[in-house]
Amino acid sequence: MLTKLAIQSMLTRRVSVIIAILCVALSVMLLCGSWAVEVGIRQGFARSLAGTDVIVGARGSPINLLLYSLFQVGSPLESMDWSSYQRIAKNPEVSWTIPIALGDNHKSFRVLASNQSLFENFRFGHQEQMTLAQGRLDLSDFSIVIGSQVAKELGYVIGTSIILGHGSEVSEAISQHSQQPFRVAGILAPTATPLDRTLLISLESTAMLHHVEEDADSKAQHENEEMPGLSAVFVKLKSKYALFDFQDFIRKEQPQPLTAAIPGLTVSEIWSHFTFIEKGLQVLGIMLLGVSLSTIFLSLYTSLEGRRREMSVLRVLGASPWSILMLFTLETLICLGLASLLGLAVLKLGMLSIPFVFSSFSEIALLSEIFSSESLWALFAIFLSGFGLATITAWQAYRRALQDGLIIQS
Amino acid sequence: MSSYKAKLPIHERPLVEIDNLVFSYKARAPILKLPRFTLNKSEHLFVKGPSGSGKSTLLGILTGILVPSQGCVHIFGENLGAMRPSERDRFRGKSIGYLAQMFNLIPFMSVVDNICLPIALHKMSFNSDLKTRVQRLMKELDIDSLAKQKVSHLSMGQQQRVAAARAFLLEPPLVVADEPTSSLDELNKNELMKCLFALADQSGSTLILASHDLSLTAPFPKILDMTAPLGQIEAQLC
Repeated sequence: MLTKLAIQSMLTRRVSVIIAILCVALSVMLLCGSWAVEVGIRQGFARSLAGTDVIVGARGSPINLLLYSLFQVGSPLESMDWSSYQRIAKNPEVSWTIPIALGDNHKSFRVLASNQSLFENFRFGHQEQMTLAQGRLDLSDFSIVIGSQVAKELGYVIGTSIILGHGSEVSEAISQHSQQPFRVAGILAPTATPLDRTLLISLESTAMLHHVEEDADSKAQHENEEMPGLSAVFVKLKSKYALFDFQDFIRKEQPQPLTAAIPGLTVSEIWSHFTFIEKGLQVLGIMLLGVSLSTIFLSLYTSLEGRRREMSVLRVLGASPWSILMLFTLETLICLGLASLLGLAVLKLGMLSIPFVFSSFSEIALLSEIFSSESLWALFAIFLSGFGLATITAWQAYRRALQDGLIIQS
Repeated sequence: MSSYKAKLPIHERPLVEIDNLVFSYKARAPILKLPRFTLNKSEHLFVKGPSGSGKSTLLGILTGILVPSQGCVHIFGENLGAMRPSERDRFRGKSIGYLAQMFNLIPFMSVVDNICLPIALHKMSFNSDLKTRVQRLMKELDIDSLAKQKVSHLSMGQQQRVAAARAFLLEPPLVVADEPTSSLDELNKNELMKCLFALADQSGSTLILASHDLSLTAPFPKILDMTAPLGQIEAQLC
């Protein structure tokens, strides 16, 4: 009956109640949304690479090196010589290497050239390995393996012929390598990493595309001159303890100036640059939440005058302070419950629509969960604050009803 | 809860006993003084006096909503002033029915929900006895066809009958009515008075009714005149 009374009482004040619910829903959406995006981005960053100890590239900033080699953001300013790569690969501390070369694209999707080591050694997420949705992992003879998002967005299937464009900028290529089409040999299963938006070819194919004239007989002898410049090398060391020695080796013992980036450290450094956005959204969300809770409080408190008769009736009928508190708490919890559900539903819809609006953020949407530990704490805090506000209002209502006693007649 | 005259068996205790009652709001001059006044079971009482004479204040004290500044009030031997507020709430809800001038109904609730409100507030189970009683009260008061209607859609007379049904629902030993007929026309007034006495007889309740309308005094065996100095009980033959 108290629930029925609470709902019916709210319906008589429906306009102010709806406004309060919308305000709280907006705050919940913003607050939980900022955390969901943060979690999505963090997981996206963390998920993109596993098992690689060092990324080596031409001299420059480690952040830039990590961004272009792993997240397809920006471009290398210089290339790394093949000879430098060979020196790294031959280092006794190195377990394996994955050389990569960027520089081409296909309809805004980047092309990454590498060798078979990519399929054998590259790991992401929880040490997961690339798997195929269709076809085979074959990079020979102008075969190409494409990411799941590429296949989905462009509608490519096994056997589709592809012309690559020159330039790695995420735009239509100015010049096309139209003389040499590639054929789709495999489509990767979704990884929720930038790999989903990548086309994979062999380093040899890249070299041929860029008019490195080859002679079958002299290929082995002049491998250094024939291979393209590399954008980066992913390196796995035999022991973590060798990391500092390896960094020294990169700094001091290379003919070409190189940069070594440790992925975990560099990701943290990148993240520190974005923290202010996250904090800003959270502060905005908390402020909005404060305003929204005030709206609920005002809605409850200002309704007290109009509810004097209701309170007086309850009091005369022997309603205890506990019953009055229950009534206001029920109203507040119904408001907050509806607002939280609405806010989270809109947030979830928003997250689901991200890939349709901003396709390059699809991994974030895929990884983002609207319920993080922070958002659950936020919801708990909202409900706790609501309970506090309900208690204050109920106490006021009880006191007023006591003062009104039997006298209130209107 | 303290017990008053614990040595007396329950049937010998007065229903209402007031002893040197003084009431004032904060530090102001007293607005009500009653040196001694008792009311036995089934002695229906009429409280007369013009507006501002303290009738509603007295009813507030008798129902435990107001607490006397001095003196004490015992209802069925229980000292209301010695109870905690929550105990008084519970005592009032279960033992005292109340009817007000403007009916004190919740306008957005239906007739049946208004009548059943005390059941919910006192966490009683809505058993078949109570269901039957609700149906019987509505039938006797001729509001059974209005059960699902919102009380705000009813006439004054109908609303007062809903309030009467609620006041007698739990068959309280005491029913207090504060100017219950002041908003009603002559016909509805007489109808309501007949209903109140019939219901009081059925449930064995004692009725205390306060009004400035002296035409209502006839059926009451006792009258308390609030205009008389220090309050005086007039005995009246039925």
